[in-house]
Amino acid sequence: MTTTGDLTTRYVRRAVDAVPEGRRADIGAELRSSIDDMVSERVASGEPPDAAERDVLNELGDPAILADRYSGRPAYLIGPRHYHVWRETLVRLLITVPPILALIVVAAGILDGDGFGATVGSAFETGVTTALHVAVWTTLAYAIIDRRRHTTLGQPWTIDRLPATTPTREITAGETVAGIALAIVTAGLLIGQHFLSGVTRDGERLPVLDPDLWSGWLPVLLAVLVGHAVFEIVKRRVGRWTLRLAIGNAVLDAAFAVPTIWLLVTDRLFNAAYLNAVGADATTIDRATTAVAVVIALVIVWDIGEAFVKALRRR
Amino acid sequence: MDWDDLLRTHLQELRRGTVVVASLAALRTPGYGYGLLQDLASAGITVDANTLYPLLRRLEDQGLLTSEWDTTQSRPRKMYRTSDAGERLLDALLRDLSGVHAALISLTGGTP
Repeated sequence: MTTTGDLTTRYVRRAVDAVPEGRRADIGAELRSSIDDMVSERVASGEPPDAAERDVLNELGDPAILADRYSGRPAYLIGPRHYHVWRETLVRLLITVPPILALIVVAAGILDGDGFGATVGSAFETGVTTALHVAVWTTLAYAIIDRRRHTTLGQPWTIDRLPATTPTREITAGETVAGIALAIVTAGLLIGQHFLSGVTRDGERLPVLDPDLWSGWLPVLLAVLVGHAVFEIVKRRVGRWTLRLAIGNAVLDAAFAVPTIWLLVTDRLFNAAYLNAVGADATTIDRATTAVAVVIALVIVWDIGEAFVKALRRR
Repeated sequence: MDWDDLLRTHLQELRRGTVVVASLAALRTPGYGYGLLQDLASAGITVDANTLYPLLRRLEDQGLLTSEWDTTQSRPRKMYRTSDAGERLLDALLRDLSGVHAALISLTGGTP
């Protein structure tokens, strides 16, 4: 005898919707029969059938949670195994990638001769949008890693990994992931400016950087970025900043910065057709190249200095 | 957190694994979800329906219970029974449980 009706049918469908397809019919039939049992019991002790059905379904609770229990799926996005490395990666990317892109927008704004307000506004917008992208994709990546049952990022913890001094001076997994991601983003920008430029002339996209550089410096810069990514892995293996790593870091940084700044100050980096199309005059181009060169130089000097300070402090 | 919440949380922690032991023991005689829930309740082991039903599935997946549909009654029911593997596990769990009990008696000086 079935004592339950439409409400139970909807509840059961909702609960089994989220369990693997092959098990739906069986779990649904069992759940239905269990609900019928529970309702019958209440009706037998004098409760009206409608009220009994509602009470039983309330007792079973949210069908989504019930489905989680049936399928044994974790009801969280990132579990304790990856929480710390996720947070570290996220923080590092958030404090590097959005500001860098915002700086690029500022430089572009100066080039285009936009007003101060408009430049700051679009730089802010770029920063916020980038931050959202960084947060979403980083979290998604770690959620997927966390759902692969037997993988844990990095080596299992042993006492050997206990930091000798403060943990902030050690190379963490998050720092490595962030460093590699930064190299990939920079390489993406170098390639993207050629194919995805927003400025067109006669229906053709105008690359931001001089296309002739593809047979010159651009492949070199991309190779240096690959070097940066490899360096992050080596640094991770070593586990802490050493003097040799700091020197390697300085060489790689210089290999990227010196050609870039040289191309900038000798007016060979940007595509002349692009600058014409955005209507930049000689003075703004001059100011923009100087600004970009100074920013690159400052970032590089900071990065090199920081590495040496960390290496020397460790001795 | 007031006293009642605190007590409830710790009792829940303490009893979490015992539902498995009780279910494996009770299902030596074949039974279905709601029937088992009532049997456990009258034996003094309270467990929520939305915890017990998925648990039976998990134990079945682990090969500790076997099941078959009984369609001879007015309402078709999925009947579970403790398997040989379930019997072996129950034996090990019961031995461990009495070991824990003995340890607690010794730690509390004979008056648990």
